[in-house]
Amino acid sequence: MSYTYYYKKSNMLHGSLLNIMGTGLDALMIGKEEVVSSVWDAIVLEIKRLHHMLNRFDTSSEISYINNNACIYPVKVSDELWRILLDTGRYHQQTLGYFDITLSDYTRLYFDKENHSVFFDGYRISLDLGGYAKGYALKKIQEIFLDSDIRQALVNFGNSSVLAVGSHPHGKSWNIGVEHPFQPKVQLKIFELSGNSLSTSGNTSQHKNHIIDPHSGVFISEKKMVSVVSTNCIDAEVLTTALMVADSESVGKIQANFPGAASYTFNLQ
Amino acid sequence: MERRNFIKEIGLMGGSSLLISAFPWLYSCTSEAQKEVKGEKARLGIIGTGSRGLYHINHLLTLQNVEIIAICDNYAPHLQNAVALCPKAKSFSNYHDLLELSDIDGVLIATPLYEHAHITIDALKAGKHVFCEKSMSNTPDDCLAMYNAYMDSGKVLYIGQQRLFDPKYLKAIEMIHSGIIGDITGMRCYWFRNNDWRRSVDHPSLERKINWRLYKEYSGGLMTELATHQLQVGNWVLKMIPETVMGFGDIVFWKDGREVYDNVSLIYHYGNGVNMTYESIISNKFNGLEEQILGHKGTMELEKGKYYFEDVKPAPGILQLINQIEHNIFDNVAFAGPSWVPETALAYQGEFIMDKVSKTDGASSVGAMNDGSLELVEAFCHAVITGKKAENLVEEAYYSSVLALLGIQAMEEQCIVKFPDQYKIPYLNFATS
Repeated sequence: MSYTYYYKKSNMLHGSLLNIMGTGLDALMIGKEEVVSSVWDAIVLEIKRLHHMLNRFDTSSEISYINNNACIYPVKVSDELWRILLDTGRYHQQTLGYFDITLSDYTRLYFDKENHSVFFDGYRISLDLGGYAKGYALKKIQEIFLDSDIRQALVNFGNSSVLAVGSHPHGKSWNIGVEHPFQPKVQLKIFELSGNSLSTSGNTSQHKNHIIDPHSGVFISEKKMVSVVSTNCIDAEVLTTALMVADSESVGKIQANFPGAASYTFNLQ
Repeated sequence: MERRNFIKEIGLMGGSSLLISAFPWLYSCTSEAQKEVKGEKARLGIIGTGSRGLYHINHLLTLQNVEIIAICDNYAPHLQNAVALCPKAKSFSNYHDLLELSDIDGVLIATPLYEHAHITIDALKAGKHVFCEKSMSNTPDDCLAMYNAYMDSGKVLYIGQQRLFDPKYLKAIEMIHSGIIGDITGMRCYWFRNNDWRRSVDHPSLERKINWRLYKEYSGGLMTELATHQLQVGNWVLKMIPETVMGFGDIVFWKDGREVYDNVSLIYHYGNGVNMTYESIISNKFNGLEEQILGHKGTMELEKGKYYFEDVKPAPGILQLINQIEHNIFDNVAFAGPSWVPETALAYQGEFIMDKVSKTDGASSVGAMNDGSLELVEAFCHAVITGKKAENLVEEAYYSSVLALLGIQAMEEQCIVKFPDQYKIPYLNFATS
């Protein structure tokens, strides 16, 4: 379901898309009505396409097909998904294994670089792109903005991933605050975003055990939250998840691999 | 009693200057205006000390900037109730005597409807500022005479349309005007109760004096006592006055000798094609009371203080940001955090206009808590001290009063009534006609 409203006085389109990648997406775009409306249409098409490709709960998605068959035989993967899977492999290394799309045992995932196929070699693992997909989607939206010359926009992907282009119409940046998940109205930090994205990960009272440590297989129950700001939407997305689970020794090493990203850990105990 | 910071509580965008441009009658509620009256007192006389008069007196007694100098009622038991609350005030049974007091700056009139016009006009002519309860009068001619007397007098006139001071209404109207529910395509106003609307009477000879609401000579019944509040909301939303009205009214259930309808259904038609339906039945309370504003993107229920989107609900925070941008404001918005999971459509219960919304079931014929009545009389007290008029307030009240009366005419004559030219005063779409 998509909703749009054009605020003429502010030359601003508000687009809202519900029930997509497990959450909702809101975009504010400044520009002429015909331009931003067609950009919104392009965003909706793109996000629905990615939702369909990357959603492991959708039995007809490509990722489901892989999950259901790669334990039996090497499954050939489409070009785009192949590039995504290689990218997640690179992130796996750079985060010392804390970012793991298998959520359990990355060594069971075999890539055949010649045939562009993946194989689980008899093991029932399941690929989950949850910690990557929203960042990837924002990167695609960023490309759409660039192609159509949108210079001021804010995209909020379910609060956890925010992309800021240019600035708020009446300011030098988009100033987005991070809320305390257990104490509504308490702002933990305000980020002045422009040309970058903010990703946040953490446990909330409604959403307890949803982040797993791939090394131990244990859910993270600590009351903490991690925010990352980066010009690369995917880096921000991947890092928040990795830093939520990484042990204190590894945190610095992981951060060193992402010199362009600024990370903030909020201890909420 | 702890005073509420009225303007702050509304939490409207952009502080008081934008607030006043949208709702100019609220000037007296701003902190600047409150400084102007510091240490001064409005010296008031109260005319009419029945249930609504006592309700106002109780509010006035909590305020700093007011002194009740005199009270008046021509029904001794009601006057006694007020004497008990205001033992130092002079008491009268004839309002003319009260108006002669030179140490009174303003009067508050809470009499039965048929006495509003002549007391208001006499008070303005006596050089007093006036607060008169709604509706203005029981004939359009008298409403117009009140308006003209006000314009000629140079004095302040307030009419008791407290929704103009009710935080949840102000916030809701601001949101509607910002486009949150899209284009307004319809309005449904209704007030349902299940009671006979009678007061107990000690002696049959007092029936008409006490139960004046039930007789045409003194009241327009449901239309003047209830509908005026809600018709005003419709005009406020559309920034327009309807041009025609039609409807039916009958005494369906309470056939107890009353003369006013206990069941009314009307349609007010605006120049842009939008209809505002108005229904009131007092023998069934299932629907309660509401002003429901229908837009092509959503619905606002002002009485409940809730709104609903037609299709999807934007993530929290985004609407705040939109509102800022529409008001040329740059500020922080806090919505970032762990992933948000939206409600499904079936479970969708709508959004609250404000954090704290006070609600009423509409059954009381005296008044509800936190409905703007206190702020309204406080603003009047400030205006009495400063002599500054409440811009647009009388015009809003005038049209809702006249529209209620035209509705009665349409029901009694069973015809479509076009807004008569002679009752148009310069405001909104009738400013130039």
